[in-house]
Amino acid sequence: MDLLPVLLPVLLGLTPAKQSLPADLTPLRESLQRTVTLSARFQQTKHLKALQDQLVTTGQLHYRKGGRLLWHTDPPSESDLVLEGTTATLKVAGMSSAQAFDLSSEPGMGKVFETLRAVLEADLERLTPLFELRIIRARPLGVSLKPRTEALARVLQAIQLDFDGQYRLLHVSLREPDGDRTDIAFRDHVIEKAGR
Amino acid sequence: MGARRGLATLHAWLTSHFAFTLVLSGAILAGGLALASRMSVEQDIGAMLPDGPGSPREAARLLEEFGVLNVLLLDLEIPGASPAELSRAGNDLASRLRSSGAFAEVLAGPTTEEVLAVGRVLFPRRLYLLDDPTSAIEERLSPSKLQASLTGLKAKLAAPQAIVTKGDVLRDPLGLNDELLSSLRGVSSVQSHGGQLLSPDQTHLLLVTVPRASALDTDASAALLRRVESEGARLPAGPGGPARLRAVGGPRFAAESAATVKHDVLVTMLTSIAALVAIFVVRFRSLRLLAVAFVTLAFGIVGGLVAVALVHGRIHALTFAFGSVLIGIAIDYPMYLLNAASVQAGAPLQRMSAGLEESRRSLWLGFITTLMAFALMLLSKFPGLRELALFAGAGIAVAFAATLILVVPIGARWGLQHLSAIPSWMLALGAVRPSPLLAWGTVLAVIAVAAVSIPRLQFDGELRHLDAQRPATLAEYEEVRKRFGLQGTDSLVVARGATVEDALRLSDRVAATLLQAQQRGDVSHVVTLSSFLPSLQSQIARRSRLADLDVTAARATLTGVSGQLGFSEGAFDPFWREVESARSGEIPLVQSEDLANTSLGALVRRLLRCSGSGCIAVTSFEPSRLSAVAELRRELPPETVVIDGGALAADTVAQIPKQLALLSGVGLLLNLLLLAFAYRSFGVSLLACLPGALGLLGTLGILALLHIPLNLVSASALVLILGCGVDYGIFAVQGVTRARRSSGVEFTGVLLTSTTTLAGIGTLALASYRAIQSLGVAVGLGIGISAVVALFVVPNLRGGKKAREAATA
Repeated sequence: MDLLPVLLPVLLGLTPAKQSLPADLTPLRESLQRTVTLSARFQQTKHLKALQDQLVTTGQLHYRKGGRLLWHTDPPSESDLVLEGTTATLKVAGMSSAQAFDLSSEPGMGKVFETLRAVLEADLERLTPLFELRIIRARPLGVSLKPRTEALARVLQAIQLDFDGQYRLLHVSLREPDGDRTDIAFRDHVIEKAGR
Repeated sequence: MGARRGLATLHAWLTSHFAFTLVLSGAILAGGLALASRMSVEQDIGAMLPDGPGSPREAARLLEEFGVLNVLLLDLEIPGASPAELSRAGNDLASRLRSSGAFAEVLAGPTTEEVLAVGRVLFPRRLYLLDDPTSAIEERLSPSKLQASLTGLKAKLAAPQAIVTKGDVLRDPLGLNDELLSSLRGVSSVQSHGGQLLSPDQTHLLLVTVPRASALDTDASAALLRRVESEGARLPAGPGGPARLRAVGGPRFAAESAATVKHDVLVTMLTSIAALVAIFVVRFRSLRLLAVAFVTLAFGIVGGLVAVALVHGRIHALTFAFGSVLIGIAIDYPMYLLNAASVQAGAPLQRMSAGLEESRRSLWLGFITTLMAFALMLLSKFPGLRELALFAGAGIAVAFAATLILVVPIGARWGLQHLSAIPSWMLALGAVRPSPLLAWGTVLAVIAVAAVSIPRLQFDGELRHLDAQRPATLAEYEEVRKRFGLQGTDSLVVARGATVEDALRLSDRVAATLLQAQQRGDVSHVVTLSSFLPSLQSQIARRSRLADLDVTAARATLTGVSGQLGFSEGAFDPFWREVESARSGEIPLVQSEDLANTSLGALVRRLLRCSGSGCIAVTSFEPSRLSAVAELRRELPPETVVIDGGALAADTVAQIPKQLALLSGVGLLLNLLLLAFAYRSFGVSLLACLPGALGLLGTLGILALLHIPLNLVSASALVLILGCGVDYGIFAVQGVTRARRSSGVEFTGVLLTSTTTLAGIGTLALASYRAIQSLGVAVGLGIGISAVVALFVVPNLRGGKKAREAATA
């Protein structure tokens, strides 16, 4: 119920475009293709106009390729966001039961979580239909994303993804049109890869 | 004398033109059936109750609409499956059921879009939905509450999805949405998970289905259950074992009841036929005479149907079922007649005529006293009882006429040639004479037991207790309801108004009273429109109350505390803009149409209904105790109607057995007077009524002692006990008052008819369908007591001896 209707018109207006990845991103694509599971600690820092100070939270990201993605936020603001198939489940500490959303019945909401998942998994192939992709640096890889549509631009102004030499996602920066910014730093990666 | 001679001439003519007699009888029966077949059959149990605005029938109808009669709940369990897997399986199952065409509705949880739509409609208008928005805001500005809500708000801002929800989060610094959501959670007790309804432990999934066919269409219900079972077999197994799909609710109860009833009817019919065959073979050594006796029953049933067809044009299924049982006692008339004819001498027609002559007076008295009981039922205020009285009374009258007109010629031509005399063992049994002391002791004992226990007799008006619900099925149903937190809706408050607004205004007053009662603990689970669709008047009043809010001071308080917690000064400007918009009326009021396409749409359609005569707004609740309903009636606005299933059963439907017991008592008194007139002796009349009276008292007394409440069906047995008991008494008195007693006709007549009734109806006590069972128990007790009193007590009482002496003299 927290995911309010404000984002629906935005995302319903998304018009994905068919794009192919630049050649410089081939190693990243291959690395992602071989990733079976990934888990990492994160520190999220939000710079919001509504707050005088930064809002810092820590937690753990875990996902299985094509399966379940868990975004766990540590106490004191403990919560779990689980994305699995067409269902998004939110569990906040103190709540008697989890809230689940059937994303297939609401395409706009589905797009939001699809984007969130693609960002957190650094899945550029799923992001390129929605964002213009620019390589900031080739090694270690740095990529910036700009929304292709005005509707999406009303929610996100730009996204920057920074990787290490092994194509592990180290940092995500999400800039919003009102000047707010979210930085997420990842560490302690544990990656299970499929054999060649 | 003229009538008797005319009847004798008719018998002679019908006997000599036997083929014509049979053809005419067949034609009359066929004509009657053709007329009766045009009637519609009513199955609504509420049709038995008085109708009209605010009537018990309307209450029963509303309760049925809000109940689960036609709802089949499907509980899906896939052991070891995750909630997402369970939801997917539930979604697939729902799709297959919808495409099967067997269901009018297959309801899963609200879709995400429908849930979001509620937020789109209600959140911007939340200040109109709070009872007193000014107080709500001021209360939440207290430092402790404000600190808690702002800390929670920070956590929401930290969530990943806050990128898009940030604006809404900041618009609600005081947690007003949480209060609104909390009241909506009371409206919907089932948790929605990904568009499906899951149990709190997320191991079971619920589909609420409404079949296209009525639950009472038992063949369709049985086919539906087979379809569900086959769908269940197609479900994928989970990691912990095979999937399990349980179906509970009205269609299952109806299908199982029908199967039970069919089994009971088959068993009791076979038992009855076997008993009747045995009785006719033992006594008459002829099965042809059994066919003769059945002629009267056929005429009785058809006569009853024609009477109801002519008067009402439709018949209730219960009237036909229980009326037919009552008409069944008409088989006593040909049995008395044939038994009396068997001891006569001469040609068959002479013997039948002599038998009729000998039993004529008692037959007439028995018929009139029985008819009187049904005539009294016609005075009942319950349409169901009046219809039963008309059907059974007309049936008995036609059966009696058939006995007088047809049994003599048919018996003379068809079965009397080889009719044997009364078996010696029956005569020997009739010679058993208990001492007068024992006879009086029996009478006094029955009266004493009745006097002590009858005041404790309970009356059960709960129609569901008559059903054949298997305990295991009922337990499964309750288990499913409990698992998903489904509440019963047996208690409703109906607010009427000329318009939607009028009904909603009244509904708001109802909600205020019920919420106070909820705080006191008198009621729970209040589901009211007022929590999300208050009347326009209430919303405008709340908007006006917002004018009292000192926005400057409130804003300063919020800014002060939020600043200490790290929020910027203008962080909550959108909230204060919303307050100003509400105060100025820029935000439109909530109306029912706004909710049509939200997850609350179905609830609005159910709780708010309009017709040509106006609108009703319904509020449901659960009383914590029965007396709470009576107290609420005093507190609620007088224009409202409180409908409570328990109270309806206790106050209205339970009146039917009470009324039947009372009418039986009055009937007994009238029989006493009639017989006193016929016998010209109050003592003999008392003696004739004694079996019926003791049968009634004994039955009620034993039921009370055994804590078996008298219900709608078992109360019908009282009329039958009265009718049969007085008949037995009349024949017993005939036996002790006439000079020539050696034939034993009266004793064997009562013995045969009571045995027939016990075998035919008393064996229903063995049935598993509770309605039939209760009828069998009551009839078994009443007929048994009446017969024993008529056979062994009446002949040995002082009054009986005196009567015999007087007759001999």
